Amino acid sequence: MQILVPLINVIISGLILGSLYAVMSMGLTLIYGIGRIFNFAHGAFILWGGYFTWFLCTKFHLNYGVSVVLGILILFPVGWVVDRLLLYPLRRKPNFEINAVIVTLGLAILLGNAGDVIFGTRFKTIDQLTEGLLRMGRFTITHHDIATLVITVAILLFLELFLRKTTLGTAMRAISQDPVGAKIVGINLDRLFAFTFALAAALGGISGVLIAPRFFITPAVGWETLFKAVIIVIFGGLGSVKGTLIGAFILGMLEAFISMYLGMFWVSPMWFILLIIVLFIKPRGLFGTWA
Amino acid sequence: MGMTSDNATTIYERFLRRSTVILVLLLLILFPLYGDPYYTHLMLLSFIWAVVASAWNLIMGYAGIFSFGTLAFFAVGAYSSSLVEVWGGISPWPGLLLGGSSAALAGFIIAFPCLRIKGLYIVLVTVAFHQVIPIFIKLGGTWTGADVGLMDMPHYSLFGYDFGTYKICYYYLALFLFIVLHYIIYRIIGSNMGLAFVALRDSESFAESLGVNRAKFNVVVFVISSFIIGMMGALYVHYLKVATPRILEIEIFAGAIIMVVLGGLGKFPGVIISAFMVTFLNEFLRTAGLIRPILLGAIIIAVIMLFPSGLSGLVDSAYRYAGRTLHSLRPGKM
Repeated sequence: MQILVPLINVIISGLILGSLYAVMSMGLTLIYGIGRIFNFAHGAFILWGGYFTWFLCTKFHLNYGVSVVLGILILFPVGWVVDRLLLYPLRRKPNFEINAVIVTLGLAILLGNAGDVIFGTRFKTIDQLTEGLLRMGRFTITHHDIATLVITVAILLFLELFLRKTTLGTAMRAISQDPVGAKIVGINLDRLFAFTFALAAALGGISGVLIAPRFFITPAVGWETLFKAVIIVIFGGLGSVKGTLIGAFILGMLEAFISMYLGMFWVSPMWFILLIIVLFIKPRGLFGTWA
Repeated sequence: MGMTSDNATTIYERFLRRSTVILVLLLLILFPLYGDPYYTHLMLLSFIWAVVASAWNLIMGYAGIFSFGTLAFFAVGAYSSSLVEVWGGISPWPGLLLGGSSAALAGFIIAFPCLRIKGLYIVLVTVAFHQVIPIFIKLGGTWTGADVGLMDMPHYSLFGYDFGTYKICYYYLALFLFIVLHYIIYRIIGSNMGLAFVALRDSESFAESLGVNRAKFNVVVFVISSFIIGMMGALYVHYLKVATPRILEIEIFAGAIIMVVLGGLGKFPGVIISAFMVTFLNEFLRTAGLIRPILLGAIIIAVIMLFPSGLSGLVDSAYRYAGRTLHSLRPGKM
């Protein structure tokens, strides 16, 4: 039992990290799966989920819960506008894939640093979703972590139901399988691309709200989350929801074990080594589906 | 002579292009006479970045491999040469080649996973590679100088002239490498190898069916471009006398990517011009502080949205126009 206690603690923290990462990278997967865009600005959306919530809380003195919900909801129109202004025109020109990468990279640099200019560089942070600790014998777990797990499961269920059961979700899956066929049966591709981008931005906002209480909200957080999400989505296979989910939990668990037994420092090198091994064996990631 | 008017125009155009190149080279050689050390410094940085941008353009623009590992190769070259010199006491001249070779080795290793993947996957894997380098630098502790940086690498010296005392030597070394490496890149683009790169980029399966060995050329382009980039990394840190993980920062990456897209992907001279523009612009924006990265981001977006073919498109049409004008003004036509 004495040996098992730290082990179980590590597994619990691995699960929590995994669920955090799953929400973090799901937006990337959706955008790639449906619009064939790799969105480098996803980290900036995550960051802005934190900024909006912080801003509404401290400057408008809104109720915490209201700020969280509004902070996430604001990102929906933001994502829509980004798709309309930047990606919609590019879709009609050659070299869309690489142009989209470079444009979203530019957007990431712009949005990522805009927060410091608008709000000043002092440290910003937001409260945890719920305060307090849950004790079960020798194990303790914060309420925020439990909330993270619950929210992750809720989001994944919502996405699953949305993609399977609603007309909109079915249309989105149709596009990801065959854009031309989807167009022939009368699906408005442009509107759905914008919708997907908006939905992904809002998902980024949710993970921003979950991540922000753990760190200060700084431009660096946006990049760190983006690079973690990059590794997760290649590992799981670009555009595969299942792959992203499994990748997030494997890498989250790995991170928990490494930081327990080797030190935090080794997490990124180990992730990279594992990524290279997976790519050598399965070049498209665990569940990659691209043609 | 039976020459069509269109051919004649091309000859005039070529004459104009060649004379521009010679004129520009003369101006660059004479530039230090202007005497302002600040501008000489900026020109020197522009030479280095122009070579980096052209080598990146070779792999991304011509070969169509979306490698985003450019700064990582730059850092590998920078650190491997300085490490060997500081701790191994080796002269910086072989250090320059060593910087290039170790970056080429890194490129060789990265090329292998990239053989089996395509497009965006290569972007992401090379971005991940870029992200790991600073971790290894931090891991090095006092050996690599961690966050503070590695200092005290020896200066180059030639015929008894120490480059640290005679800073102008750095200018001419950088100019020499700028000319030689650009000539090599230019020749590669025009050679059969360059044709193979473009063929694989434009129609991979067709090129392969004609017997172009994709794996071979992909590895070769990775090795060549990272060798050149690594050499520039070595020169860069020797000139600045410090190697820090800051060379991998997103702002520098943003600057480099603007050089390539503003110049025009797969367009040779445009990238050189935009490297000079971006280096100078970046320096003048230094006073803008926090706003600078925002401006860089905005420039990237604006270039992609407004000038997708970059400066080269503008330069080409200018030459075509000038060539046609010259042709119509030729003696004997009146």
